Amino acid sequence: MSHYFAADLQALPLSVFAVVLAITLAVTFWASRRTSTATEFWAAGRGVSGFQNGFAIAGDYMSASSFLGFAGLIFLFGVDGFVGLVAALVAFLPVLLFMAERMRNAGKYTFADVLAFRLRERPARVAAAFGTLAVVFVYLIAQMVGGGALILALTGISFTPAVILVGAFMLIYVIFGGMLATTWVQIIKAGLLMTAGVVITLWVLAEVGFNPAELFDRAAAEHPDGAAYLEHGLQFDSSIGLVSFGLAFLLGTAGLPHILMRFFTVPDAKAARGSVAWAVVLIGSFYIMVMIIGLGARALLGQGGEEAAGTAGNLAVPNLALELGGGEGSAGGEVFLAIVAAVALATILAVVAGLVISASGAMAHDLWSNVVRKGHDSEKEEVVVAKLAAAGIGVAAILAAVVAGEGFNVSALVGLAFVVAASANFPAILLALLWRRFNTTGAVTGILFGLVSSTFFIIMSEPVWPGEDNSPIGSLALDNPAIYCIPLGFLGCWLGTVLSSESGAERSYDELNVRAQTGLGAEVGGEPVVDEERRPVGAST
Amino acid sequence: MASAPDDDRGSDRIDWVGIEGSPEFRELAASRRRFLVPATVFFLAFFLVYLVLTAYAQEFMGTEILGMPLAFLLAVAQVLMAWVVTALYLRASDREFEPLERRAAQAAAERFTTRSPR
Repeated sequence: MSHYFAADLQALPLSVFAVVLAITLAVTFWASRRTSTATEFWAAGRGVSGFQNGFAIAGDYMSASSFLGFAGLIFLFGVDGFVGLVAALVAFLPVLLFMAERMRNAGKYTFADVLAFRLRERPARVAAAFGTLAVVFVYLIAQMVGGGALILALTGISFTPAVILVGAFMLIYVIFGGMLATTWVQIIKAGLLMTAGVVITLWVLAEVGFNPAELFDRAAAEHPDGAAYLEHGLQFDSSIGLVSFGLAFLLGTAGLPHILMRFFTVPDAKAARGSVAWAVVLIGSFYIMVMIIGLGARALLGQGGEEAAGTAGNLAVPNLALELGGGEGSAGGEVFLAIVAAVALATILAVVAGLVISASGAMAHDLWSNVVRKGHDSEKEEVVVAKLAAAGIGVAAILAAVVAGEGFNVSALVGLAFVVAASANFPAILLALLWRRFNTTGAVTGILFGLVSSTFFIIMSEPVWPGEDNSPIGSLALDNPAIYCIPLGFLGCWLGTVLSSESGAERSYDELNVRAQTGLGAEVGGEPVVDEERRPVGAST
Repeated sequence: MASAPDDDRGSDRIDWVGIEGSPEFRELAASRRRFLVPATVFFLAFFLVYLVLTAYAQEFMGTEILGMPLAFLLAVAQVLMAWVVTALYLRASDREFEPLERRAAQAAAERFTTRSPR
């Protein structure tokens, strides 16, 4: 089967791709006529319904790695692949309980808005913008490299043009259509992904007579490790490594800037919590389907399918689609494969667009408007800078992905993105919302501790040091060091707070707490009710 | 952004500290905390038990019930748990927190907002 994915152009997948791209361009054109103000550009005019935003969150969150990556890991290593899926879903509970409504009530375009309410604005925004850009840029490169390699395998477009294609469309959506186009690309993608998931899952279950026990028996029988395929421990060689990996997903999601940004697009707090509920339903059911699809790939493709699935198993699902449709050369197989390939492409596009728009928020809204220009720029200028920032970040990510090349191990990058989100962004946001004594120094040191420790431990991790056990910190090295970095991030927040003598911040905690919990003075329906520059006496502006 | 220096309700002064200390807002905050603390303890414990089992009870997770390994059943149980906690939170928000939010907002408008002449 492997020669099917050779580097010659595949007409059928390419034509389905073209249809998907044409639809997204039409959406962008429609959205571009409704996007001119800053609120429209970053927050889709706050007119996205809770139901729509639930789909968009699912579309923003479920990257190609959820669909193809996790299914591939389950194909290769069995039930260890479930852990990432479970952690990535449960991660929405902290988002629901502590983030979604408070973000919506107290923020405007970025999570830095919430920090800036009660902390000294400039240091808080600079620190939060660095946390955002670190997560987004690393995640963006990982997505572009992974996406380029996937498009190469599925359509035969070679790596560099594939990356440029993804980057170009991403920039078209964001620059012309802003958050409205990004949102609808994400909604369309979530719809396509769910549909593909349901079809493949039902097809797999039909193959085993809708008897789950048979699915497990056949999958284990097709794996060289037999029964161990249904026990944990095949993928992760250390138990602590597995726990650390789970924690990174659990707490990282609540610090992902592009996910938090989605809550600014809905009209009120009720829609914000409703959108998380829809996202939890969609993502949860999709992840259960991914488990079944991964097992199905093992049961139906068997050990013989490993070579064609690639080193990380990313192509297990496309191969499964080909097999279910009737096998290589059959019309059914090729059509089904082409559809799955197009869904994968839509998935990549929706995620990278969401990442770029959140990076543009950090650069234009946080750094340019509120730090460099101190709030004295016009709204028109803010939108122009936002588009320039998006273009700059997009081009930089395209170049970085092309330089890194198709063989680059992106798992370390994805790990880094989640660890930074969990250890730099999450502690600072959570404590700003909940801890009265928290202050600016605490936020800055916390974000710094999180960023530095994540970078250090990722550089020390095994994938960076080729060969066996070559890491300078020996057995302490973890592929995903969240278990060290999250406590360090919280420690930084605490130390910075108790060692500094600021108390001026405390006054505005009252304001943030009231606003976050009641929605008083929240931004509504496109026009701000209370300007965000209105600050209590004593806070710096 | 260069917008008007004050909000569109004229130049009303809102006493945020006063609202934060008002009985209406305290009741809202307490009611929310009564939900959030146990819910957080529950979901964290539920998830961490699963995570620790996957890491330290690896063979046990292969135990089959009705032909399905525990590893799968417990993973599905996590998804169901997330759905249940979400549903309970939505219900508490609609029934308890929202009326309290309205009361706090009303108190804020009546007692903690000073209207300036336009």
